[in-house]
Amino acid sequence: MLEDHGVEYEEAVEALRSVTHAERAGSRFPDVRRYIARGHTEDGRLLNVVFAEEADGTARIVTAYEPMGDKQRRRHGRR
Amino acid sequence: MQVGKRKGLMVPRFRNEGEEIEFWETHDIEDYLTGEVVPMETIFGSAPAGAASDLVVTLRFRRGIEDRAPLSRHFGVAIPPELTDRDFGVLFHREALPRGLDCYLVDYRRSESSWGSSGPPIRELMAELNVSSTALAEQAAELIATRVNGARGGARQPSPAALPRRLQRTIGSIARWLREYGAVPLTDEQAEALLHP
Repeated sequence: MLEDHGVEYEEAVEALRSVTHAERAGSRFPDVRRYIARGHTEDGRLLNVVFAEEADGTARIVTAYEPMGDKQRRRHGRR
Repeated sequence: MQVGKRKGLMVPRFRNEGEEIEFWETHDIEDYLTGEVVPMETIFGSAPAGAASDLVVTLRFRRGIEDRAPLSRHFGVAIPPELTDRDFGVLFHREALPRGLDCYLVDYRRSESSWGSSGPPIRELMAELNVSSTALAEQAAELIATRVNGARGGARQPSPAALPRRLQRTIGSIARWLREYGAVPLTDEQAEALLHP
């Protein structure tokens, strides 16, 4: 997945760590907690990182990709 | 914090990581967002005072042959302040690894990081394991989480002198466990060949 989007795992981690907040996706299931973090790599590459909050308090990176289109770029700019 | 600003679609429950990755390949998460903005420290907690003494062990599992999912887990281990200058990387270095594990562990790194600019620095040690299947990686991740998190807090917290040994025993356990379950160690080249046949 990360490879499909031309994103290295380390870049996704960097982007995840660059943010102070993430936006939550809705779910009817309390154990399904998914978020999107709009961050950047150390080199300044903008990335959206979709991650899961696991029950044990760890993060699982689901995917990461560059924001596409005006809508996503505007959202990224507001983070 | 914005709560319930707008109603989006609902994220379903997933049977496995591969299914979830496929889901997000075909669905735009922007359609599922609630508008609820959550501090990262609320999600994952913040490092305690003296956070520079925290060591985050990041284990990266290369994809298996069952699906395309890159698997990752982050584990935090509380490191006593008196050990902050210790080079834990050596525990994962090839020469220091328990017999048999050097085929699995191929890389590590250390860095300074934090949540945004406001968080305290966290030392990171990254290890990368190549295993032959996603199922093995998943099970190994659970094993590691249990073992490593067992080093945190409460009665099970090891003494500063015992912590490096505990980490090394954990690595040894993982190696034995992988061998018992028939894991096939892969080189980077082999993993890449599986990724891009």
